[in-house]
Amino acid sequence: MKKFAFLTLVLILMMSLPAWADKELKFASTVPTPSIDPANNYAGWFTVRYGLGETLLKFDEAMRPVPWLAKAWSLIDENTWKFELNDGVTFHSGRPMTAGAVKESLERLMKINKRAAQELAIVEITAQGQAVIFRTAQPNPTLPNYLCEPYSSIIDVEAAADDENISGTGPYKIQSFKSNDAAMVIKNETYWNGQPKLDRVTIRPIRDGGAMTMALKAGEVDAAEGLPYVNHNVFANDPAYKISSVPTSRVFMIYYNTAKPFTADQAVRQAIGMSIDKEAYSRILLNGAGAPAAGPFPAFLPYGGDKVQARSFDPEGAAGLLEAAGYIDGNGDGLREKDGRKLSLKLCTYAKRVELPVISEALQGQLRDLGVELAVEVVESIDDVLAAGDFDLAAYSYITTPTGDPWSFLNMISATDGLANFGRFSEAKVDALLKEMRSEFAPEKRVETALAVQREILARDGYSFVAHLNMALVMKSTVSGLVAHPSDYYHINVETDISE
Amino acid sequence: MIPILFGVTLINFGLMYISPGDAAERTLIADGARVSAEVLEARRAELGLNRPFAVQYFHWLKNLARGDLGESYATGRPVWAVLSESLPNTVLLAGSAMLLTILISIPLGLLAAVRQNTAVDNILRAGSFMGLSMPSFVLALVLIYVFGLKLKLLPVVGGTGLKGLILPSVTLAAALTSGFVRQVRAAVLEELGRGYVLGARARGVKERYILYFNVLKNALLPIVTLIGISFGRLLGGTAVVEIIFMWPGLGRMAVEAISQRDYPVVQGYVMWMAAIFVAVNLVADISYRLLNPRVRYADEAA
Repeated sequence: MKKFAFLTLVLILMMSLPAWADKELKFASTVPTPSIDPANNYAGWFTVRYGLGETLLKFDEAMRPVPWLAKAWSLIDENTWKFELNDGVTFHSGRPMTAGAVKESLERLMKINKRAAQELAIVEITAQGQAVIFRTAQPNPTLPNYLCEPYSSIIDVEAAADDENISGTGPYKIQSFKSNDAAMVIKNETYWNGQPKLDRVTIRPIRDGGAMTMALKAGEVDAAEGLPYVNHNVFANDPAYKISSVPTSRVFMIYYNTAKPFTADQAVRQAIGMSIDKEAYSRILLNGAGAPAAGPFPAFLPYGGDKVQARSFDPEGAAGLLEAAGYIDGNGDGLREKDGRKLSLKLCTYAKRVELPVISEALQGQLRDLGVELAVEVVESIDDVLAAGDFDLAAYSYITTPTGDPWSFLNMISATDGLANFGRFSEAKVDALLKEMRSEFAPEKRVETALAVQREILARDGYSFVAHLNMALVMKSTVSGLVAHPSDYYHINVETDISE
Repeated sequence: MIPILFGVTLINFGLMYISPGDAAERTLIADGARVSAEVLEARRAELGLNRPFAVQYFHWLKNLARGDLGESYATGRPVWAVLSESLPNTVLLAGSAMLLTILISIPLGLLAAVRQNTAVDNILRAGSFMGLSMPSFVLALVLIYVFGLKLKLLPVVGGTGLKGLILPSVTLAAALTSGFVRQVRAAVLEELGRGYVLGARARGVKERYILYFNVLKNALLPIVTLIGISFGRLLGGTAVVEIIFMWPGLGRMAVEAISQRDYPVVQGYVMWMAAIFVAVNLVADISYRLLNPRVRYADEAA
């Protein structure tokens, strides 16, 4: 009898063994990556998402830089920054993360990645005990923000550092990875900031939304990123699943070409802006996956949401405005004319963001009611069309604060020489504000100026901002510690867990 | 063969050159973020994209002559390494789909011909009509839904093992089989109407013997060409099926390379495709003669 009891005990132990010996999370994403080397173009996104690499600072929920690998930072003079590193951080290779190692990692980054070199604009890095000193060529108030950008992940340059293998500081280290294919990461037993909960995470790209939905439903995948919004309904009402959703700074917006005769007239731009039913677009066209936008920045940012006011939806007011500006339907064909010319406009957009053509067609219908003809053209290479200026309106989608700071986006679309100012918006006051903001260090002053620039743009009807898109992670309800972040950079982390 | 490859790569190079957007733009402007013009120009110079078309093309040709296909823009790895990684998977999938097609379509085609205009023939015709008109992505999703999600017999995302091979092979074989059944049926019917069949029957040769050893052998000739061409197409990778089943073959690799404007990889892929088609046609021609010596006489008479 005793023997039997003992055997039973052994059997029970053996059966329960796999449960705690091997905890695995299966994660799926619609986007495959060619590389996990943070210095390779945008591959750093995956270095951080997979829990492999970490940056000196990270973004909080409002996209403000907070400590991560660095515990504190200060500005010594306007061209010199000091970052103090946490003690006891080691790379996956076993080497301690010293100030010297950080210097080497960032120097390698700036050598390989031209975008990083320009954005960081660091001319000299000095290692000083557990502190690194950065010298910039000109005052760069957004340096802490760019040190959060995933390309700034700190890796051990003395260990393997290529497209398929890196040695970072994250809670998980790379076990296997194939370019544009699956990856497996395993627990980093000597992680500096807590004990990772999972033994391993497999990450596989599933390009097709339908296949991804079925894989999640069949239980082959525990959590998924990039699941098509139309398929969210399958999981929203199922208690075995949960959805973590968060607004992002991805905005759908309308360019107005001020170099074209009709859109040069502010009355026309304003009337169009008043005809966009943002509320209905977000609820119906975006299937609840978006929120109406006033300006380019979402509500969770100190310079976003309803801190600025856009034209409210008012079709009758729009009609009255056009009437007063001399656009009248003289020949009774339902379309307005002025000086014998029909009020007919061309809107260009592109299909890669599937929401844009849908929004454009809805606008087409609303403008028809206003007596304005809008031809919608979905083009293959929207950037070429925009650069050539061959449009009246354009529907476009941007991530407005990839690094938590408003300057770069505002400068891009509204400075007279802005990189993406395709509608030739030009206001001396805006140019002056942007110039002042460029070297402004005080955060509250930056917020104030960013709001002033937005108000100016909206008062001139330079752009219409339609909606902000949410991003969502869909997962089994047994998954924990996996929360959607507005930056979309942070997926697998030390808290990520799955229960049986 | 050389002039064909030369022409194909020149056309492909030209198409990529004039297509909007280049590798520098694709890698630097992630969906909705932007970089400055200087950074773009620096990257273009680094990749050699700012040089004239002819210079770029001849530079590529010169390296090719030395057996160097260049390096991927996206990862910096040699193109041949990228290709040779996907190639075995594509060969495996193509082979298994082709084998499945042959095993199913020849017996069914024969059956349809022998039972011409009976219920069996009509059912097979209706079936192949459906198989031909069903797009492969629909069939793929239906198969995943039925066998992966509902019956739980096979994994939804199979990986590269045997279990993962079944559904993509069936998807590819379904469309091919539908076409093949009709071709086999037509070819067999044509042979059945020939004089030698009548003669053999008159001499009292068994019907089965005539069917398997005379008719089928002769009817196989056009079928072999069809097999060759279909196999060549499968070896080029089947983007849609490979993407849905996440099968790491050439088709998926090519789609990723195109979306990243990874020209060297796309060029390497096109080279491979052209070489495959030339080779497959050659093999089909040779097998003609082996299967039917009359082909040689016809050539010599002409």
